[in-house]
This record gives sequence, C-alpha cells and structure tokens, in this order.
Amino acid sequence: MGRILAVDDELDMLALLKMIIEGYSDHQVTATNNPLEAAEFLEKEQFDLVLTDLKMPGMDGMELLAAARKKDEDALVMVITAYGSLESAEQAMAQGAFDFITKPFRKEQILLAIDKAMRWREMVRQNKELKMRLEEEKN
Amino acid sequence: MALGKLKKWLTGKRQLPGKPVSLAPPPALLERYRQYKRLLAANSAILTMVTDLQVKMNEGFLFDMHYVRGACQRLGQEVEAMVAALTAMSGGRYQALEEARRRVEAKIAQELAGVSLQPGPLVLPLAEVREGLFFGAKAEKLGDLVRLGLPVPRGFAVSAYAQKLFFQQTGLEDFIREQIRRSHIRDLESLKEAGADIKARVMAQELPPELSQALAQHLEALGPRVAVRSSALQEDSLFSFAGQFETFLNVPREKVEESYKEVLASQFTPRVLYYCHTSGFAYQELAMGVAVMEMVEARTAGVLYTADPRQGGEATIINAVSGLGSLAVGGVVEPDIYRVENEEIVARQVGEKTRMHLPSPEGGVMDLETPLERKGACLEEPQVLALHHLGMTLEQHFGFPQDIEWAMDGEGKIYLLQARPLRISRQLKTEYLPPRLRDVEILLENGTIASRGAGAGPVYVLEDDRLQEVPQGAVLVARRALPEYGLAVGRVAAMVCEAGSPTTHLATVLREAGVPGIFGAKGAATRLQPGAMVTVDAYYGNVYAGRRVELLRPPPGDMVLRQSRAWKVLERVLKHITPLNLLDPRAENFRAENCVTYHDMTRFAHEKAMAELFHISARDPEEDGTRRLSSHLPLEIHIIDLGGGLAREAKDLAVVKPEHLRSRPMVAYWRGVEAVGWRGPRPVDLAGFMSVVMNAATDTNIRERLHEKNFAIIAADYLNLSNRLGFHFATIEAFLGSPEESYVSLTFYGGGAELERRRRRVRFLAKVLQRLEFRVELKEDSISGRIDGYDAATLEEKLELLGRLMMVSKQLDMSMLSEEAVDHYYREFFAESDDLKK
Repeated sequence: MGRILAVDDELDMLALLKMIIEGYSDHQVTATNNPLEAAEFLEKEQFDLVLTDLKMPGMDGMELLAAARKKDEDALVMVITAYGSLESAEQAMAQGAFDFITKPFRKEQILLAIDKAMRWREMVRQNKELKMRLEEEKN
Repeated sequence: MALGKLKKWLTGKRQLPGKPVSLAPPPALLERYRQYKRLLAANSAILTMVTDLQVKMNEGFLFDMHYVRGACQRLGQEVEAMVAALTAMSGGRYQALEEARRRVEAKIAQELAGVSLQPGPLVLPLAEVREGLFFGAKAEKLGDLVRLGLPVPRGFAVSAYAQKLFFQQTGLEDFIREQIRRSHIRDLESLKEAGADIKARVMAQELPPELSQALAQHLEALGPRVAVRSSALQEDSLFSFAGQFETFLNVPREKVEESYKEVLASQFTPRVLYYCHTSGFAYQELAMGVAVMEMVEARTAGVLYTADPRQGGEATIINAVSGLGSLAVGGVVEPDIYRVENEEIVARQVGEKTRMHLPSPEGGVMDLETPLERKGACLEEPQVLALHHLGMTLEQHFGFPQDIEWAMDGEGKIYLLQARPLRISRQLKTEYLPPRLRDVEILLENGTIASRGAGAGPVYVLEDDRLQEVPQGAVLVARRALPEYGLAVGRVAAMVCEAGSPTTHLATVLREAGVPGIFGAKGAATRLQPGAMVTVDAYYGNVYAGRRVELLRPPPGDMVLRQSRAWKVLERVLKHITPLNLLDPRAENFRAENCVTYHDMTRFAHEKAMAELFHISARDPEEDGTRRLSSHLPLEIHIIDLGGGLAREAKDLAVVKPEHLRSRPMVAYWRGVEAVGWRGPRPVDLAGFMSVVMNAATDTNIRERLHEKNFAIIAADYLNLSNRLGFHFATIEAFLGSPEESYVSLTFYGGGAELERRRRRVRFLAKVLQRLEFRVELKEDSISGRIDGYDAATLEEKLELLGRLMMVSKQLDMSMLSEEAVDHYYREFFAESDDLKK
C-alpha cells in the first residue's frame, strides 16, 4: 500500500483519480485542486508518488515537480498532460518526471502506470538497503 | 436537315472552335467543388470526433469537463464549417439547416453550463423536498425516504436559494467576490486568510427576516435538539474536495441559525477559493441546502452498505458503534461489523470501540471512553436483520446499492439519517477470455470493431436492402454499412458488414443503441450461412459458430466513472449529437428543419452536397476553360479540370489524349468505354429507324440537344460526365475518396426510339445496375442509380463496367423489339464482360 498525492485543478478529474485509485488498488490518495496546497503537503508529509497535472494556474506541474525533487531526489512524479501537449510532457521527463500520461486516459492505463511506479520505488528502496548492508559489511 | 445533323453528329465531324480559349476552369465551378471538398473534410472530422466521444464515454476513460467542453467546441466549429460550405455550394439555400444548427448549438451550450440556481421556496418540510427545487442531493433523498413511509426523523430543509438570498441581501456576495479578487493565487496563506475573513463575515450577518421566521416556525414542530447537515447541490466534484462539510449534532433550537451559517461558511476553504479564482464564483457551484432533523437519542448507530463495497458481491455490511454514529467511519474506533448473506448473519466481528460520542447536555457532542458495559456487541440478530431488510427496501426502490447512515434509539427503533448510492469500486472478477476462443469453430476473424459488445442470433443476409424483412433477434449481415440500415437497429442482436469503418453513420448509430457491430469483415455475406446461429464478438472482431454464452455475459461496467459530473454532462450532451433521425434520404422526414442532432445535419448536408455537385453540369458550362479529349472514338468530350484530373504535361494543351487523364474515376470509366469501343448500330427494324428520324425531325428539344457537347468535369478524385450517346442523355458522377465519401451515380433518360422501346432499354439498364449493386429508381424512360458504401478500388471496377454499359447501350433502344430483348442483352452484357476479364 502506497501513499499518493494527486493534484489537478480540474475537479472532475481529481475526483475520478481518487475514486479509481482507491477503488481499484490499495493505495491511499490525498487529493487537491490547489498546487500550493500540494506543495505544502509535500513539505509536511511523505508520499510514494505524486500525480500532477502540468497546466494549472498559480503554480504549474513543473514547479511542483521541482519542489518534490528538491525535497527528495528519489521522489516519483508522474505528470498528467492534456491531449496535444506532448512537448511539455517530454520537458517534464527531462526534468526528472518518472512517467507521463495523456488525458483522457483509460482507467487501466493509470492503474498500470501507478503499479509500475510503485514497483520501481520498491526496487530503488531494496537497492539502497542492499548497498547499505554491503557498506556495513565492508566496514 | 435533321438527317444531316444526325450524320454529322454520329461521325463526330464537327468543327472545332476557331478562337483561342482559356484553359483555366470556370471560377464558379471551381469554387463549388472546393466547397464540396471543404464539406467532406468537415464531415469526416465530425464523424471521427463523434466516434471519439462515444468511445470516451463507454470504454472506461477518465476525462474532465475541460475535455467535454473542448470537444464540443471543436465539434461545433466543424458543423458550422460544414453548413457554411453547403450554403456556399447552393447559393444561400438551406437557411433552415443553419437555423437547426443554431438550435442544437444552444442546447449543447445549455447542457454544458448546467442548471442555474432558480428562485424557489426557502424552507420546506422534508416530505415536500424533491428534485428540481435546489435543496441539494442529501435533502432530496431524505424527502424520497419520507414519502416512501420509511422511518426518518422529523425535519425540514433549507434551500440553496435561501443562501443566495442571504448572501445578496447582506452584501456578502460582493464581499466574497472582493476577497477572491484580492487574494493571491500563488500564496496559500492569503487564500486561508480570505477564507477566515469570509467565515467571520458570514457569521456576523443577520439572516433575512423571512428566512429567520421560516426557520423558527418549522423548528417549533420538532423536539428541543436537532442535527444540522449540509446538503450540497453538487455531491461530486467541487464539494467532495472542499473538505469535510460541517454537520452539527445535538444543536439546541436557539443555536440553529448559528449552525446554519457555520455550515454555509464551511465551504470557503483554500481549495474552493482557488477554484473560484480560476473559474469564478457561481451559485450553482457554491450554494448548498441544509437539512435540519430531530436528534435521535442514539443508543447505537452506524452505516449500512447493501453490497460489499470492495467486491460488489451480494451481501449487506453493517458497521455499528455505541452512541452517536459520528465515530462509525473514519477509523478512530474499531466498530462492530456484521455481514448478512441470504438472510443470515455469516460474519460478526465485535470491535474494540474504545471511545464513544454522546449528546452533551449543553449542546454538541461529547467524546468519552466507552464504559465496559457498552463495549459488547451493539446489535442483536433480529436488529441486524431488521436493518438488512430496510437496506434491501431502499436498494430495490432506487435500483442501485445504497450507502445508508442509521441510528437506533433506546427503545430499539431504527431511523434512517441519510442514504446515497454506494460507490462500488472493485467489480466482480470476470473470467478471463482469450481474444480467440479455443475449440470453437471460428467463421470470421479480425474484423474492425464498429461498436463494442457481443451478440448472438441466427444469420440474416440482407439482399436488396429489404430491411423490413429482417427478423427480430437476427445477426444482420450486409455487404455495405449504409446509414439506412440503422432502421433495423432495434431488431437485431448484432451487425456484421463486409465494408465500412468505425466512423460511418451506421457505426455511430450502433454505438448509440448499444448494438455490437463488426465492419470490414470480408466475405461475411458468403461465409455466414443464412439461418445459422452465430455469436458476434465485437470485442475482438470475431464471429463464432453457435451461441457462445461465455461471450454474452456483459463485462463489468465502470459505474464509478459514470458517477462523475463530466460523464453525466457528456451523456446529456451526446443526446444532441449522436442520434440519427434522418436515416433514409428518400423518406418524407429527410428535411433540414427535421435535423435535431449534429449527426442528422452531417447526414443531411452530405446528401444535399452530393446533389448540388451533381448539378454542376446541369447548366451548360461555357467553352472557356474546356479542352477537347481526342481519341480514336468519334466522341466529342470537353474536359474541365478542377485540379489533378490531367497529367502535368497536359497543362497547356487545348486538346488532350486519354493517356493524359489522371482523374481516378475518369480513367476507370474510360477503360470501360475503350474496351467496348465504337460499335455500329444494332439490327433495327424499319419502325425503329423511322421513329428515330421522326423524333429527331419533330422534337425541337432533341434537335437542340444535338448541339450539346459532352462535358467531363474532372479532378483527381472526381468525375462528372454529362454524356450523350445516341439520342439519350446520361450524367455519370463519381467521387473516390475514403469509403465513407465515395460513390458512383448516374441518371439516364431519353432515346430516339418509341417510348416502349426506350422503357425496355432502361429496364435492361436497371437489371444490369442492380446486379452491380446500384440502388436504382425507374420512371418511364428514365433511370437513376447510385452505389456507395464501398472503397474506391471496388467503385473503380463498377465505373469501368459502367463505361462499358454506356457504350453497349447506345442506340440499343431501337433494337428493343420485344421484352425478351431485355434479358437477351442483359445476358450478353455479362457474358462479354466475363470474356473480357479472361
């Protein structure tokens, strides 16, 4: 079970993301339409994955991506882009986003993408642990 | 004199015009053709967008209002462009279509805007609260329960309009707008401050006297303590994220006004203010009703689900805590859990219930440690079953699993406090089925999915478009996917068409009706045996022998997605877009004023545009802009090239040769013409010959037409040939684009022989054309025919045969001595065609 922060200024999409993810997986979703609040959440809490829309008034997904990566270099951020804005998705990937998904998407697409991200996170965690153990053994 | 002309004309020895002519096509003609192409482009864009919208709605996609609005806007633009193109082609006719377009556009805009808050009653007893009065979903549902005679605490509701009145009369509305304007969207603190300021201002204002009086009056009928609960207009979207709305329990009568104001103020969280910053402040988004109900002195309370919310299985799940129900969900305490299946408690788990909520004497709720004697099971078996039965009653009434809040007083009487549709997330797992069933005879595979689903029934192969004979429950098999087949949609289990794509009119109609369809299934009409039971799997594009029950089970629906606002709006919007009412162009209702959806308009405009284009050769084109086609045949054809119809090297030639032709339909047609070549007249009896002479000599109409030229208006994909071979007149038109756009049509009338012989000739033509799958109409000595629904390559073959047919049938009327001649020449035509093929 993982903790996911979902950010999208379109409330319908946000509502659906929360319902779908919580309904079809064991992950827990904190959802907000306000990217500023999302930044505050990121400061205070620990999330396994951040799902964010790219184009939002006030603070866009790129800034949120930067904030998440600044706090934790391993932070997993998946960006959600509107149809026809592949360029910004590529840009986000270049800035360290783990993956992107284009709206509208199928329920299965987002669930599989989350699955993939969570497995990746687990692998990174295990890798770090093994490295640490190796270091310990060396010392 | 007439004979001389006849001879001159027959031998083609006519003088060429002496003066030099411009080779550029006439601008008016070119413009009309361009408008036609514009219309086709809009047409195809519309059908693609409509397909996309249907797929997004029905195939498990997540989308938001932004998507729905954007798609509707793009669609509206294309429809506007399409109607404008038709208007331009027709010289300003079809005003009624433009009017119909505006009507539909307005309806769609209305659906997208949603319902705006209307003035209405401020306060009503729960029993009188119903949908449409703006009391919010929760209060409306409680009204339903009261009217059903179910146990609901006595109470009343305050409408959302009361909030609007309050905000407007006290200047709160202006204050809120100003706060939203002044706060900084990039500064969370400023949004929080604005929210706090708004709340303080709401609490400080007096309610309008009429509202205050109504509250007092209705409170008199209730007990001393009440619960004040928010009842939002928009249960989903905005409000589900605005934060937990306040619900106040155990409120003394004198504090109800304060609690009411507090519920209203609870809306203005930073999230909502951020939303208002970008989308504006609107009452239909930000107004709520409030339900006020007599407090139940609950000994135990909780929630009840009439289905398992995790698996959707048939079970009633009841959570119960001691005291008030406020701790039953949220994970603070561990409640008792009861599971009922088939009228039996199959699982019972007594929770730890460390704490409990009780009404406090001074009002509000007190939180205390649960005394030992109340830590045991909250409910006994009969009470669990009574709750279960109550739940079943609700589910049966609303037709959907329910999520119910309940409370039970000290005497064991149960009350319903709230009910809403249960969100079942995980569906029952369905058995995995491979794309291709094993050990089952497969009749067809890899067809294109036109409309998802599966259906089974006996095969009915459509012949001659006799739709009225399609039996109920059949699997309709057709060679083409023509729009008029939509007439059978209510009767068939599935449709399989050899041609067609998902963006055809018919596919849209099938999806609209939820009828499975596979298109592009080559050989279906010959491989599927009439009467044989088959199963159409329009998830993977296969057709199996027999009835495959495993495929017919409906897949789990995406009920969660369907609860979103965007989905509901799209469903409503599509009612003005996808239904096709104008199925048959020959029907009486095929008129512009009867177009009530964008789909109707698309169908109508395309049909009328074809008719407009067909007539471009009706008015005699001037010689300017034409070039002569010179061949070994004594035919004088003047060519107007609208673009791409001739080879580049023929650009400046006034006389072109057949090898210069690049127009795809013209090339195909000409192949047929040349294959037959110029033949002398068939054996004619004296009566037949004299009739020609007499007609030519006396009929001034015919004499004048002897001077007419044969015009071929061509483009890379287009042919419009007005043709005279012998004494008859023919117009052949073809457009070879995508399968949805392509067609070949002809009209043919007249002749030199007496009427009966001319009639026989058109009967001969009709016979041949019908075998070539043209839809044919006969009248006296005239015939019109058309074929569409095929791809360009197939239509090229038909055009070649049409070229042959035209050459073969010239002057054939004179030889139509008897009825037997019709059959004779029919057999001869196809025998020769077969010979030529070999």
